[in-house]
Amino acid sequence: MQHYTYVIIGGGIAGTTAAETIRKHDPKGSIAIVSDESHPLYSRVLLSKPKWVLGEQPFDNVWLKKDEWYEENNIHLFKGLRAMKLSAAKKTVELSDGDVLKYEKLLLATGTHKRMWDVKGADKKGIHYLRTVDDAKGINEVAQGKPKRVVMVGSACVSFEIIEILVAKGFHVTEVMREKYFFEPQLGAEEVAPIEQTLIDSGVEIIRESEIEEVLGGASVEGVRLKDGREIACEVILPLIGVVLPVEWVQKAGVATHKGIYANQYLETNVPDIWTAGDTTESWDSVLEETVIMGNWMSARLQGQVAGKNMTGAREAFEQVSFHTSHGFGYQIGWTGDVRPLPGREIIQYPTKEEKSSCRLIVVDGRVVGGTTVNRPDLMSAITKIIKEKIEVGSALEEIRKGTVDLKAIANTKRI
Amino acid sequence: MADLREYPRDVEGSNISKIVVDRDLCIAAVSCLAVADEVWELDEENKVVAKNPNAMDDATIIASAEACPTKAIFVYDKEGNQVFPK
Repeated sequence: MQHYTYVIIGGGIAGTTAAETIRKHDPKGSIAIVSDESHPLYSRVLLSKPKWVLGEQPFDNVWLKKDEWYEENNIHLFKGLRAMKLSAAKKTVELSDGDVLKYEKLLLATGTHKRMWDVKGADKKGIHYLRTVDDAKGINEVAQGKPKRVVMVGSACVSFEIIEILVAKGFHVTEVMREKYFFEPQLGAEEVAPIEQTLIDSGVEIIRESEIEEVLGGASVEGVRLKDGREIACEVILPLIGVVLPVEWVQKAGVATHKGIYANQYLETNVPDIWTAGDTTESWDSVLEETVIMGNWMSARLQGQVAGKNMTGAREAFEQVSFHTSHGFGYQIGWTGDVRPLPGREIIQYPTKEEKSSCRLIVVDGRVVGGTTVNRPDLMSAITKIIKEKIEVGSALEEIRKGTVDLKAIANTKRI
Repeated sequence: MADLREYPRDVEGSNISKIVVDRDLCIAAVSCLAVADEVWELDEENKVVAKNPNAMDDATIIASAEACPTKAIFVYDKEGNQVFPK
């Protein structure tokens, strides 16, 4: 058994930022990070960015920390090991090699795992996922090689970005989605229509509300058969179908979970001396007044910072109107705050004059909780401000819909 | 062509002559801002710009470039050599 003051499960941006922050506030306490990957911290967002995927940026740009950084800061990084069992009573974590770590304070920053594609034949050669830097090597090799026929499964940001890269390199891409359109439900159908038209004009074939039943071929992929019997020939399949949140192992130890690991605004779980940060965190958001899972780089980093500081004795709240963006095919798409179109929420279309641009607000009881923009990145900061300052817009909804009031002007008033 | 924006830095004792942001790479993850808030801000297009390239020390500027998850920030020394990313 090894003893550490601080044990951090997860070596991604949340866990590593937490370690860095702890070291700033506690120069002496021992710190261990447990990572099931064999690498120091790297940039997950770079894994789907064109210049890096195509090798126009050096591969090594992906690394955000070197091994020496861990040594210099006296942070022990357990590489390639998974945390298997948590005992909150004994304050121990058992690792996949049988070793046991005793902690005084624990951070759960596991992040998510890729959702595995559960289809007959999904073990054939030519199928690539994209979650880790090791996964990315497979896709980079495909993208940098001779153009092939690709079937993309999944219709969110990463799929969109990878399709752009492949199309630019002359690949033929068939998109097979369960959903009705790209980014559903993160964007509205009318916002996505021009984006999809651009994809179709670029030669991408889109098959909607459909699923693959079987991968065809011998050892290597030769095609897919859809549930309706149609067959599509291809050499490569990219099942980028989202992530799973590994919460069961902490649930067994009495940590309260829902979809993610529950936490209050201080990122404390229900169990003393256990905090959580990053993509598996489902924490109380005092701006939105609900518990939310953020799932993006920006929030994971800030949560790591806040949790790290709180583990050294502070009690700061995590407060952030989160946003993320996706770029491709000449579109810049932005999501701000909570954009889920849940029952009881009103979706307000704000008219933008420019071609191929749009903006919507997600409103609950006269308050904006989220917003989406297409090719209007300049509106994102206005939306962020309206959300953050809880500006009441209930009386102005009609004017917003008509575009007779400027969103930026609303953002600059406390009340309208 | 990449959309590059250059910010000359003129600080006595500093070894950094210039900071460059590749706006095509910037995704507004604002990690740089978290490290060097006196240097960086988001502009109208939701891209990072140097509001004050002379603020803060060299180590902080390099740390802010290191924090960028898309490596969109380039740092040059007085001789014109790129010192980050190496």
